[in-house]
Amino acid sequence: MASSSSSSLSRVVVKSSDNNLFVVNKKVASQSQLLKQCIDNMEEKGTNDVILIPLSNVTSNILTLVLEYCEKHADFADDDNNNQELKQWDHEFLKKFDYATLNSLTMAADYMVTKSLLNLCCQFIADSIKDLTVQQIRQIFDIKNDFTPQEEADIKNENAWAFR
Amino acid sequence: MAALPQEIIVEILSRLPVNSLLRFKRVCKSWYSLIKTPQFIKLHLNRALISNSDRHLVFCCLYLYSAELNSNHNQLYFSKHDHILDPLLVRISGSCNGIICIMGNCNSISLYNPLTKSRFDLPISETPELEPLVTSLGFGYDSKNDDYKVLRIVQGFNNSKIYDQEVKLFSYNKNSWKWVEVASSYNFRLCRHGVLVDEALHYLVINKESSSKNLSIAKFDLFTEKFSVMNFPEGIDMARSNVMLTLTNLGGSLSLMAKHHSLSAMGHADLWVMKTYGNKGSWCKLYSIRNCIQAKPMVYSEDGRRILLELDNRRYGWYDLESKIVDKFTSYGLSDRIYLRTKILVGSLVLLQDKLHSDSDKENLPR
Repeated sequence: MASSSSSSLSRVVVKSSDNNLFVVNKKVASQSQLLKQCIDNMEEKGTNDVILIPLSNVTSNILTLVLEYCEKHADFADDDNNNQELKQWDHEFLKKFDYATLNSLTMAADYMVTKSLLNLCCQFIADSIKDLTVQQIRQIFDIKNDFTPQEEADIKNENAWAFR
Repeated sequence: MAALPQEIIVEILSRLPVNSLLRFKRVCKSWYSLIKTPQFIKLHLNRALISNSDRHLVFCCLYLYSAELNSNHNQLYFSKHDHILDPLLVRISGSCNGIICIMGNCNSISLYNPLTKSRFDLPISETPELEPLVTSLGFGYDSKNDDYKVLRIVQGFNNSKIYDQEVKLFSYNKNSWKWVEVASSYNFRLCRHGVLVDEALHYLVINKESSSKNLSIAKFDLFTEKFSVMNFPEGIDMARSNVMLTLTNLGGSLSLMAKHHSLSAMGHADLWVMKTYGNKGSWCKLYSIRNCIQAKPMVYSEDGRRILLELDNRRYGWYDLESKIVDKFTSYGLSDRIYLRTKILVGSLVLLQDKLHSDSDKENLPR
C-alpha cells in the first residue's frame, strides 16, 4: 500500500492509563510491536500529523520503565541479544524491582508486544523464584491455596507420576 | 497486586527446573493441573533443550546416582536413588529428553525419568536363535512420529555355532519389537551403546567389504529406521594400535574421543567434533589433554566457555576452552572406589505411561 503520498513519522505520542503523555521517537517505539503496528498503519494512510496512541492498560510508572528498556535496546540490532554488555544491562535493570513491579512490567510487555522484554521478565522471575517455598510462591503471586490439607499431603507424597 | 494471566504464568513456569515444578504443583489446583498437561510438558522440554540449563549427571554403580549440575560452582552433590532394577547388572545405555534407558540382566530394559520417577518396562524380547554374548542398546526420540525407540543389537553364536548378530527395534507408541535389516558387512564394535545425535544412533563399525578394513560410522535413522554409513574424519591416524576411538555426543554434535596409550608416558586424550552434522570436512580437533587416558566430554557450561569432562572414569573437571586448562574438582556423596560412566540428563517432566494392551503377539513378525 506504500504510495508516493506515504509519509514518514519521526515521533509518536503515547498516553498512559493515568493520562500522562510521552513523546517517543519512532525507532524506540518500534521495539513494541503494538506501537510499530500503529505507526505503520498511520504511515500507510499518509498522515503527517503526530499520532497519539492511548495505552489503557499501562500506568505511567510502568510505561516509563518499558520505554527505558526500549530506548536501550533500540541502539542494538535485533540479533544482538547475546551481546554481553546488553545482557548485563538487562540484568541490572530488572534487579531493582520488587515482584509487584516485575509482574506489572511483564504484563505491560505482553500487552505492548515487546517479545524480548517479555522473555527477559519471565526468565528473570523464574530464576528468582525457583528456590522458594510453596508458601512464598502463594504470597508473591497472590494465590489462594484451594487444596484441602489432605489433598496437599497426598500431592506431597506423590513422587511417582507414572499412571500406575 | 493484579494476578498474572494464565499465559504469562505458563511462560514463567515453563522456564523453571523440574525440581521446582514438582514442588510448585502444590501451590494451587490450577498450577497442579497445568504442570501435568502434555502441552506444558512439551513446552517445558523444548525450553530446557534450548537453554542448556537444568542439566543433571547420572550414572549407575550398584545404585543409580544423580547430581544437579551448576555451572557457577565447582561442586557436585550426588544423591543415591532407590535401586529400580536388579542393581548388580544395571547400566544406563542412553539418555534423551529427560529419560534414561536402563539395561538390566535377563534381557530386561526399562525407560526411566529419574526426576519424576516415571517408569516404563519394555516387553521382554528373547533371542531364540542366538546364544547372546554382547548386547548393545541405543535410545532416542523420533519427533516426526512423537515416538521413543530402542535399538537392540545382540551378538553371539547361533544354532550352527557361527558368530552372528540380531538387530531389533522397539517402538514405545506401538509397544512392540520388530526386526531391522542390516548389511552383513557391518561388524559392530559392541563395547559401546549407540550414540544419539540429530535423531539418529551412531556406531563405530568395521566394514568387512572394504579392503583396508577401515573403521566407519554406521548411522541408524530413528525415523526411516534404516542404516547408512557416514564418512570418517580424515586426519585421525587410526592405523596405530595404541589409539582407542569412541563416539560420543557433545552439545548436539557427533564427537570422537581418541585415547592414546603410551608405554613411556601417561598418554593423552583428544576430542574431534563434527561441527556441521553430515559434513565430512567439518571435523575438527577441539582439545588434546595430557596426563590422562580418557577425557570424556559431558556438557558445555551455561555460558558455553567451558566443557565438563569425566576424567579416567574417576572424577570431573571443567575444561576452559580459552585457557585450555582443566580445573579438577571433588564430588560429594560418592565413595573413592566409584567407577563413573556418566550420562547427561536434561530435566524434563516427560511421562511414561503403561500401555493398556500387552502386544506380545506382535513379536512373531516375519524376519
